[in-house]
Amino acid sequence: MPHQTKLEIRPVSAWLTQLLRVTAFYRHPQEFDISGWWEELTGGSPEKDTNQPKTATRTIEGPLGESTLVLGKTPIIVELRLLGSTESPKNIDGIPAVGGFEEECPVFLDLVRKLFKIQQFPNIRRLAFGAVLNLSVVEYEQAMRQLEPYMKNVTIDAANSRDFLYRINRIRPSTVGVSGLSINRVNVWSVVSYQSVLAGPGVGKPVSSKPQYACQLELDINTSQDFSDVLPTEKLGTIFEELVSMGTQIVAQGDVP
Amino acid sequence: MTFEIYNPPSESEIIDIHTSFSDVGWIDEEPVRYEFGASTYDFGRMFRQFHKRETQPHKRLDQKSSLQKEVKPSDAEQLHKWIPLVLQEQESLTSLQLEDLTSRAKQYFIVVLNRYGSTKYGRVKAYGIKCGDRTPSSPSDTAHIDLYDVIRQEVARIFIGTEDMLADETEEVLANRLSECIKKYQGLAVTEIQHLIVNEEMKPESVEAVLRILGDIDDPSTYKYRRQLLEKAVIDSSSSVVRDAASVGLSYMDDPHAIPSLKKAIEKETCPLVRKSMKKTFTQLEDTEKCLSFCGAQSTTSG
Repeated sequence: MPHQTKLEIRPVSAWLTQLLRVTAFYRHPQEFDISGWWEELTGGSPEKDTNQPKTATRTIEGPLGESTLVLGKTPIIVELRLLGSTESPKNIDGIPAVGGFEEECPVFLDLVRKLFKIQQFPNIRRLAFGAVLNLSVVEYEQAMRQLEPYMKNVTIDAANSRDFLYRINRIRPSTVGVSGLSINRVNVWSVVSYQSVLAGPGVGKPVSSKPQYACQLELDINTSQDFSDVLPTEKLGTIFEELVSMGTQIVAQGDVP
Repeated sequence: MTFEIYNPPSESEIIDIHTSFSDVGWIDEEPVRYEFGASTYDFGRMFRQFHKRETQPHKRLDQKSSLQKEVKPSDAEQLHKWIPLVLQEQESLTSLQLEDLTSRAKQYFIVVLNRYGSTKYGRVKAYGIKCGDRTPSSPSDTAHIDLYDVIRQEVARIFIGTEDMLADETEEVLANRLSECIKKYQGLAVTEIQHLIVNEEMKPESVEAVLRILGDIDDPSTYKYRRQLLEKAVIDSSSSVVRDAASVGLSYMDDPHAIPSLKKAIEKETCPLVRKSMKKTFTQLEDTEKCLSFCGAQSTTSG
């Protein structure tokens, strides 16, 4: 078997953002209405406001720059998601992306800070930062090899393996001064492929692009489900920043115990 | 095998559907080829299994069918049926951006295009996850929250302690708890209650009370779902007690839209007492209908 150079960890700037989310689990019983929140967050008007009584869900969404910002409420959570536009999805090198992680994360963080300051924002007992990030690679085997430096305790036989999936939760205590609060640092690593198909009246035969491979990192950094008190309202921003910081560390260094 | 559908539209509607599938690693996993117009598409192992078990694709692929269907995207069964039909429809395909679904190991997706116009089309995505392949949601997972798990527990709580109460007291407690649960969880709660009734996981005496209460709750957002549940129960329940209670629930709603279901239920009913009760409700709803059309005519002539 030919010797292959070990790949290095790539800079944070190489990671593309497919999705960013904040999920806030609110304490019951609390009555609140998310009307007007989207406008308050963006200064613009949403395109869609959907009430789904069957699933007890309300979603308000609209464009934010080239992305879509979705605000949702279910009977247990309030959630804000930044993702690709549904009208004309943006892709970077064939990978669906809102933009670079380094650029998009601060934008999202600002939105979340604003969200926490909304007057009607409910009392929260659990908070999560989620992200789906992609690192573009040329081919499948390279993607497998690229994952290796991110998981120091895992050896991957890149040439003879497929369907790689690595999921781990590295729990850490929170350091922002909330007694008894610990953080789940769930990181999921896999290899994915994207392909686009162009077809339709006037296009002739459907044309599909070459698959574009990527290492995918799914982050779910959240305060522990065992914390039963209300998170201090004045600390929500700081807690979320801590979650983002822990996520960024995983992007930069891989699965760190 | 079922799909879980995310982000479904709230109402049944006519939509154009386009599907595409991706399965991580499928390239080396016995790809399955389907002829699709002049092109060939490869689908992964999972898709093939899905086809074999559920839809007999080869038979269906020979059929020609319009893509325009009435869609209840929350109804997974329907999507199962359409997928093969969609695959052979070349003309209405449009530009698709294939996206990945973060559904753990095996991945595929369905993209549903909605409100297809001449130059612009909105999009509703129905993401499917083959349940068997999905890693069970762990408490540390906040990305895949199973609301039905929460609802199940909440609905179960409604009945806690009601066994030891007197009948009137029980009904009052049940009514309050049920009303609160339905206002909070809306259609999810109604669906869960329906599940408990259909699968006979609830005592008949509880069902009887619940159905009557469901007809009496003041919550416009779940009105349609509650009426549908009562209509289903009045026709389909194997218990005469339940059918009777559903009929009473419908009389509380006093909605003439339930007349066809009630008519069907009366035709089917074998218990004379229940049929009598149903007929009473039927007459009441007919009177309401007459009254409504009279009021409508009055307002037209006076207006």
